[in-house]
Amino acid sequence: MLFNSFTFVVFFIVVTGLYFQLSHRLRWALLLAASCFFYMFFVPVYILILAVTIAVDYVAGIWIEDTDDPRRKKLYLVGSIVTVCAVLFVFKYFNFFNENFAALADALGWNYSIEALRIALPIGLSFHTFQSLSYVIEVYRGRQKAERHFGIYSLYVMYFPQLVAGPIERPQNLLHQFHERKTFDLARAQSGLSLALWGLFKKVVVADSLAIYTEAIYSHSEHHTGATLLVATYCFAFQIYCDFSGYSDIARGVSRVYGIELMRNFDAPYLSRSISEFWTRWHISLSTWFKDYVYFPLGGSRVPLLRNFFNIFVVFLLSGFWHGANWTFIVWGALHAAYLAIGRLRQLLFARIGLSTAPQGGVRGVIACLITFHLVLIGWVFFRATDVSQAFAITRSILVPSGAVFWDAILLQCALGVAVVMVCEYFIRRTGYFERLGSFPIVLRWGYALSLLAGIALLGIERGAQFIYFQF
Amino acid sequence: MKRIVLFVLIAFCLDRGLALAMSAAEQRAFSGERSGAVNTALRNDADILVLGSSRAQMHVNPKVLEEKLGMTAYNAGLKGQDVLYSVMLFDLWKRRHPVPRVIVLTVDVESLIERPTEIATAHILAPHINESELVREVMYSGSAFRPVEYLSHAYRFNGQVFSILKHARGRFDASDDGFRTKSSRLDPAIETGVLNALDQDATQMEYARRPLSTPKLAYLRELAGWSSARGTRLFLLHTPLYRQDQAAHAVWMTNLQEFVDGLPGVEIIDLCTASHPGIFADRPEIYMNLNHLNATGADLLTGMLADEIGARLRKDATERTGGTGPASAMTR
Repeated sequence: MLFNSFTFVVFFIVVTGLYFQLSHRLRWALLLAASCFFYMFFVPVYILILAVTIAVDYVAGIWIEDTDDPRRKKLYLVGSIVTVCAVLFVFKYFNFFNENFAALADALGWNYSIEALRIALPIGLSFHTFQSLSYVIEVYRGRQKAERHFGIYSLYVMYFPQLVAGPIERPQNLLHQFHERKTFDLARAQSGLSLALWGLFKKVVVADSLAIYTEAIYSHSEHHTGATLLVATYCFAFQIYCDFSGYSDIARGVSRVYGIELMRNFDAPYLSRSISEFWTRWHISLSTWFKDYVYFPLGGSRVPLLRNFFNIFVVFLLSGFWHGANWTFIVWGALHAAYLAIGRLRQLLFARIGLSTAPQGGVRGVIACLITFHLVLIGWVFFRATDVSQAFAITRSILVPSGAVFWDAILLQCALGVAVVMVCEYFIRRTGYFERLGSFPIVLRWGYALSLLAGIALLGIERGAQFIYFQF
Repeated sequence: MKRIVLFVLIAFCLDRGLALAMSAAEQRAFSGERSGAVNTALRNDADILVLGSSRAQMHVNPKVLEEKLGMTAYNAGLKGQDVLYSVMLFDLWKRRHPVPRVIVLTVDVESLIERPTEIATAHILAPHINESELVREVMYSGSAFRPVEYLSHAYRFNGQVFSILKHARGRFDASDDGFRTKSSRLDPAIETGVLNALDQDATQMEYARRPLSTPKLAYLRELAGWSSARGTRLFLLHTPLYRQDQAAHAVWMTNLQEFVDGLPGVEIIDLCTASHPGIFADRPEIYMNLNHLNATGADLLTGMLADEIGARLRKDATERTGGTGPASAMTR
């Protein structure tokens, strides 16, 4: 079920109505049933995969907590991680490795005859796998008590607003909220609905119109000029932002109506003045996941320089691979790792000669912001391209943009949409609009909501593309 | 509660207000590829009305038809559209004009199969949803929630705002016959690469084997019945592609013929590459791209079409007058 569908609107109204009618004791059951229904709307049988993940980590969490033997604790943790990752491997990565082994064997003249698996990738597999993993790791570290209520634990993994594309929650933030008694709060519901409406606007008006141009150009990239490819890449940069942050806003908004707060996933990332800052503002739930569970355990930055570079590359190669079983994502991850490594070197060099690397304001800040955005932009070429050779060909073309830009009327809507998003996000960020909604005059609140509704009715793209991050 | 009711009331008024403003602008649009094209088509009277996709719009030159047949002609084909748009447009057109003598509807291997995107693209007729039961039926199909979506009057202009505003100050051009063409020539080196990449032969065969869409056939039957009752000749025209798969063409023509056999007064005119390879095959100079003829090709095709229509109308006239009537009975 897609957030940008009428089916979801009806689903949400029914679930919300029932949620506040039921007693607290039964609400988890309602949300769990609703989450199952929501997930089974895509491919029903794949709920079994989720069931395996949930069962394994639920039992592992309790066993880890119940034993005092550190070796046993570790054994249960490793067992849980291996099982859950094995599921991820089979569904997401097996064919990639198989294909590459076959190509290697072919080059070496070996006989390699393992067939590719004919299975579709379960929607949001990487998201709920990581959410589930974070629970077992936190229990192992003693920072979270094992959840004994199987239903509540299942809900933690399956909670429908963030089931298929995050934010990837931590047990400390989410689990206790399912135990808390919630009452209907009109102000909170208004705030949640406003946030969800903003997310929907970003998705159906801006991201989906940008997708039309990007898709048209990238699917025949060899026939377009460097200037056109550059414009299409700009479009993709804003498309992926509006698409993914739109999804996250809808998820947070919907959840807020139930009184359950989800973590913020984006914080104006294109206003970052360095790549390291970018990664504190883009897909925050994933970047903090890798920081907490991979980067810090490897030693983080408190290690010799070369080891630090190694840690950065490990994290970003894994992050790239998390996005998809394709070399394009691996190159994308490597590129960001290289940016960060160079940034670290620059930081050390500046410190040695007594120059400051602290974030700057004014014109220098704007320049730093533009440079960062364009470095990210090069990464998006690899993220969007179908294969590495296409990505390199596009990169070559856009580095020396030439020729006329392919004009399509949709570009007008794209430009207008991006401008609206940038201005509104700036306002939202400066004022904490959704968190302090009640303090704003009613004319502004209603004007805002009515404008978005009118924008969606008049400019929303019908049957637009699926959310980009659903494929991960 | 009061506030919620007030909010809903304001939203309702805003929706109607926006729709009114858009409707006023829409009715003034007479250029562009959306409302402008629809409005121009609805204003033009014609003895011969050409309907269909871009392969009608770019392949049939009304001037050639007028010269050869002595009847007025208008090309209401539109890029990106197909049969659903055509039957809806005709339903709106027929309420505004006298009965046409001839309707030419272009059909291709993919025209009569089920394509959900076709309903979405035909949404450009949504501003006319209150005018026709048929338009309403098509617009409401595809999802149980469609009628709910159309409760918003502003939504009827969804996706057309910029186009309507851009063309809202246009004037009706009576000399516009709807025909759009280019004189550019297909470059076989580039286009064949695209062709191979698309594997168009395989696609054509796949389309040819798909079952025909029941609602589309029902709409066509309705159109055929209407035409037959009023003495209008309905021709289903099949036009050339740069490369046409013979096997797919044979499969599809069999299916189409089976359907047409049960419809009185409907005939197929097959002027495609597969049926006329000597004229349309391996001639890049008459194509602008893989799917469309250029101006030269369009004139060539329309000339053949006019001859074919003329011959069939003459045959009809002869049959009606018992073989003694003048051949000019076909002219008004």
